Amino acid sequence: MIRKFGATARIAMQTKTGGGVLYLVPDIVMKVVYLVPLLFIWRTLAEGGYEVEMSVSQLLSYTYVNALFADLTVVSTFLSAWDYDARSMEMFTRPMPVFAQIISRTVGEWMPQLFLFSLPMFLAAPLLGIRVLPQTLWAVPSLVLCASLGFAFEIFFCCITIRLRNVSWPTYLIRSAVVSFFSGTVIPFRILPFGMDRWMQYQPFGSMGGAFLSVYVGSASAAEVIPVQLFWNVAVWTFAAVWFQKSRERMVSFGG
Amino acid sequence: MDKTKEQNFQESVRLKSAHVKETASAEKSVPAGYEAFQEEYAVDNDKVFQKTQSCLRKKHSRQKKKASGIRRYFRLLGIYARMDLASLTRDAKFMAIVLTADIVSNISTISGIFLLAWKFGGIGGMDRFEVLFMLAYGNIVMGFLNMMGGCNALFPSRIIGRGQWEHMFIMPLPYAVQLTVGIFPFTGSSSLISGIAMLAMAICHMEAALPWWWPGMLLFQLIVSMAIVTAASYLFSSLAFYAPIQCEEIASTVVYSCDHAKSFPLSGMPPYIRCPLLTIFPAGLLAWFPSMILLGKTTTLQNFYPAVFALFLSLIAAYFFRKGFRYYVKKGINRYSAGGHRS
Repeated sequence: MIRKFGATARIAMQTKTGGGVLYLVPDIVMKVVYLVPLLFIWRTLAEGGYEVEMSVSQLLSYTYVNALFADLTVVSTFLSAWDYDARSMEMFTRPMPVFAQIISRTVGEWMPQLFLFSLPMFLAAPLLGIRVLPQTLWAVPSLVLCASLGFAFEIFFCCITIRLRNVSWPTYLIRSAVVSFFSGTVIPFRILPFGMDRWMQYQPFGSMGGAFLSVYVGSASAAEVIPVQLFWNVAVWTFAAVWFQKSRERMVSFGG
Repeated sequence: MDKTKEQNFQESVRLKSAHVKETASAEKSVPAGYEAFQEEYAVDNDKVFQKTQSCLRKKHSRQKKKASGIRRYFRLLGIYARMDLASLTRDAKFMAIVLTADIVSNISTISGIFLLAWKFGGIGGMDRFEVLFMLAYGNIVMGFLNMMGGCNALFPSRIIGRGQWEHMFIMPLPYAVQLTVGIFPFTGSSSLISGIAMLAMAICHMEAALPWWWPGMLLFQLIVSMAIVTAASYLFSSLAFYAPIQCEEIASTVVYSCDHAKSFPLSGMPPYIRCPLLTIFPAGLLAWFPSMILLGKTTTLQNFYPAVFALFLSLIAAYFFRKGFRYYVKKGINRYSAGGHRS
């Protein structure tokens, strides 16, 4: 099973780099372009003398680490893409469980960015004066739970797409909304106004990137965050798995 | 008899010589080539008349064609709009999902930065409603482009990379018409509508009185910002002529990155961060800098910068796109397998 997992991941990794490593450069450049102004917003706020619930170094680490682990904090698999080439159908013709295929393929697709972007940026962080080491090792299980919940949501959104007869665009829009706000990966919940942090961290999307990053930079305790992540993992995985079993016979695909 | 004959002969000679003299004097009074000139003059008159008639006919035909072309353009826009409405209203459940997705997406796009601005009373010298104005401006720019660029007009690398530009060769419409008639006013206008609503709200809360020419300036800046995004997209899409598979999505990478990065208020940031975002990667020209102009926070010279930059970028994009297109015409793109799938 592990060999199959590894082989699938390797093939997925090769599909990402099959057109040449240059193909990955635009994405890397755009990640940097997006990261730098966001880092400077925190510096601007700090220089303005505003009182924030998190220190500037925590905010910088939060944003920087989110960029490094962007693929893991908000998981996106081929299930969310438009089902052009019957890719979702192919899963049922292979001698491997469907969920294992989804996970192994996605993990393989993460690798090029992790090696070509995250690793160099991780090593360069001290030069930029940003702390990237975790405050506690509980960040590791928190990251695993965060990625696991991301996969559960992927299957959940895939079921929505199947039920709504392949309306991929609204699904994509909702996913984008989750990425930019409800997961807390761009703006930490702790610094939101109107006491929003109290309930935002308990909504299901809040247990994705925002929860992991809070543990990583030490702005939230693991004892508070990990039980909530566990709860949402059990709840969303159960619901998504059952719904997927019921939905798979309705799958329709098309070429183009 | 002989005498009479001689007299007759002399008389005829006299008459002939008189006639010759008369003719010669007559010939002398008419300029040389007069007849040819007359003939030529007459022919010219006809030609001028014919040419005038032909020009008038052509002009009339051109005007008719132009009028019918414009009518046809709007008819096509109407057809796309009807199809869009039909696709939205085909199913109540689908409509509810699309509207919900649009609302959630629009709220989340602006909420992060606006909530920060709200909490801290502004960011980098811009107050809350100035930040809201900037976010609204950016939403209008991208919302309008998304609504008009429904058929991948904003993402030409997709058309090129998928070998679909060849489909456009056989259509009896100019490329510009084919690219711009794909309007999605019902399913693709939420960002534009929310942008307009937010802009109105921001303007209502502004303290400064706006001059009479301000709406014209707003419209001009919006057009300039849209031109910058479009030109950047076409510039990078030129690469898809040479590497169709690798660069198929390069336009979306550029446009979506501009879309995400445009929300950052660059006020208060150091020049070494601000300058690249106003030149190499012009996300700052999609919302922040035009907002500064419209809020009267720039110098007169700076006011011209976005327009000059848009012109410069458009010229570069046109040059490279044409160059790439010439390469494409010679080499072509073969992305489709026999089964109809793309490679």
